[in-house]
Amino acid sequence: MTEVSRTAAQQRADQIRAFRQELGVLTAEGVLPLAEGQAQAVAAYHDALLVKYAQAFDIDRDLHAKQLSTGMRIASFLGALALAASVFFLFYQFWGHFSELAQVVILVSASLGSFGMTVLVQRRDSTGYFTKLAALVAFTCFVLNVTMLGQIFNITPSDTALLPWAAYALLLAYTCDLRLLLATAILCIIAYVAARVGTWSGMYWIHFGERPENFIPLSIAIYALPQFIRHRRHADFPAIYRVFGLLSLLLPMLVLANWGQASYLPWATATIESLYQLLGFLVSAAAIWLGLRRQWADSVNTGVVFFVIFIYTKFFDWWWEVMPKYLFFLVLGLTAVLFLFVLKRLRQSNDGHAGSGS
Amino acid sequence: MINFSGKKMWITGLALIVITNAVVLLGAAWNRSGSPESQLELTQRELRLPYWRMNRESSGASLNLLWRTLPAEAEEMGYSDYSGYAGNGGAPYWLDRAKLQSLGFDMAGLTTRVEGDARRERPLSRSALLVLELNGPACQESLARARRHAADAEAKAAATPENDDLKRRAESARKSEAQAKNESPRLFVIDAGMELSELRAKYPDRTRYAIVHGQVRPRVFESKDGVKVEGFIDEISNSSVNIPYDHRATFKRENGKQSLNGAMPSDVIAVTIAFGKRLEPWVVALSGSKAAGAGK
Repeated sequence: MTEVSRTAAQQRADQIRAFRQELGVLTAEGVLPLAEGQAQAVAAYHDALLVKYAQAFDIDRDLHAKQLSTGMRIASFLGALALAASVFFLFYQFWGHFSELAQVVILVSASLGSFGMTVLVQRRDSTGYFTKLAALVAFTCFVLNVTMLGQIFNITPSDTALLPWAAYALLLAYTCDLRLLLATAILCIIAYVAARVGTWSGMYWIHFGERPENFIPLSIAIYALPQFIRHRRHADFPAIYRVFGLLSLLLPMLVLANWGQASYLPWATATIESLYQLLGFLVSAAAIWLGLRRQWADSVNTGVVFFVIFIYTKFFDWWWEVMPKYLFFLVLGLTAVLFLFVLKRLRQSNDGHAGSGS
Repeated sequence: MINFSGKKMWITGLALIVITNAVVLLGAAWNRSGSPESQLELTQRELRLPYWRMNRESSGASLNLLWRTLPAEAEEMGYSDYSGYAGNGGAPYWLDRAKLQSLGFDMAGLTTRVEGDARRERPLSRSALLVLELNGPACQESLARARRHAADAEAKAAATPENDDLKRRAESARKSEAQAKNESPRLFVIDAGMELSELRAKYPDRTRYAIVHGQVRPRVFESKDGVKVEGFIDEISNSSVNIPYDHRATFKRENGKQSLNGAMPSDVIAVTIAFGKRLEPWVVALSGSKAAGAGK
């Protein structure tokens, strides 16, 4: 049997649950009555599969378990943030009482120790929640490690620190199957490349956020990366790449559509803003189209959100001052209704293609 | 497919942590190796414990460098011209268009944008090497300006004794002169460049001139004579210097808090700060005395 990730196992379990419910309905309506032997064979197969997945991945076998899992995920996330903050403040509380040598030893030991703890927890934790806690604490310790060494030795701030953080977050993300750390790694990489692109234009690296175009070069690469690197064991990672790729492309466009002064382009501000407004519409529409074609819900949703934001900001520019407020919001509401109709037509058209293809 | 498992994960993670720390620590060691690039003896006039909300939660301590710039002398001198808002940036007279051009700014592009385009008002800062001068000609000029201003204000107040406003201005000018003489930082940024060797050749005294990393930018504004450009020093990259554990005892806290106005305890008067090969600073020595180092 091919290697299965926890996500794939959970999806399979959800499919089995849905299949059983639908089979019950079909049997009751006399549409698909299975012979007793067939029904028992299917049930036995599914039961064995669910037991195997439950032992290996601690998946949710029913709706009640699924609801509890959502709560556990939230608790795990908040707990991880709180523990990370605790480590951070713990060190700040006591670091002044140690010599430089002791500080260095403590920082390096904390990084190594928390990493070791993450590996040990990951081997024993089938649920993944405790692994997430340990991995976030390990990442915090590493960030603290580098940051505090910089403060202790008065090192000139540099964007180079983002590289080891990104590498470490990627390592933990792929080892422990953590989307949060993958997102963190992608953000670090985006920030580093944006800072480098900014320094090529001569500016001090820390101002990279003041030139939104610095974020655009890498965005397409991040969006397209899952097409070149397969993620069989991490089925939900490609969505993270696509979402952050789109965010690093569309957010700068949204900013520049309203604040053309921040652009590198040597044109009038009004021209730049018009250009990015147009590009924003085109790119978000393209994201929706591509998402529908490839069945990437993340691409569709992100594209829809930004398309709506671009439309609403244009409406605001055109009509906020000249229209009565009730009329303005009525127009917004009617636009949303129109959007619903368009998306419904797209969905029907998509269902039609799927039906004819089956 | 990316696959980290078992032994591979252990090795990669350990290597990443060890290599990162090695790079950082070796860099710091190299900075402090050999003779310092420069070494300045500063007092509580040039150093301040930072205002920082986390100080109550932080047992660490650092010192902020307080530095000033000397602006072009104007007829109506304001408080900041000689008495010292320190460490918040400044527009020195020598950071003119030619100097900004030499630091890599496109001066033509700054002043020939499309009509009505506001972008030229927000050029971003660039890295540069800044020359810090301790108690040198810039400091003496600043004090001389304060004295001239005080004398001028006294003369005006004496000429119209019934004018209370002029009396107040004269009093304020006297206080500003005293502050410039006894309290204001004696550390001035006096030059900028891109090459360390060139700047050091121009300012060879390593006990009076320190060269540090910093950021500068042009400021563009409209005046009745047209578009004007002046240079502005945003900040020094390593303006905060960690106080080593060995010297912590000198900074006693009162009632568990830093002193309220951020001033250093009055019994510390000399801090020797060295700047290394990467121009990063560290505290070499701290000596305390009951007498303050006023007027040095």
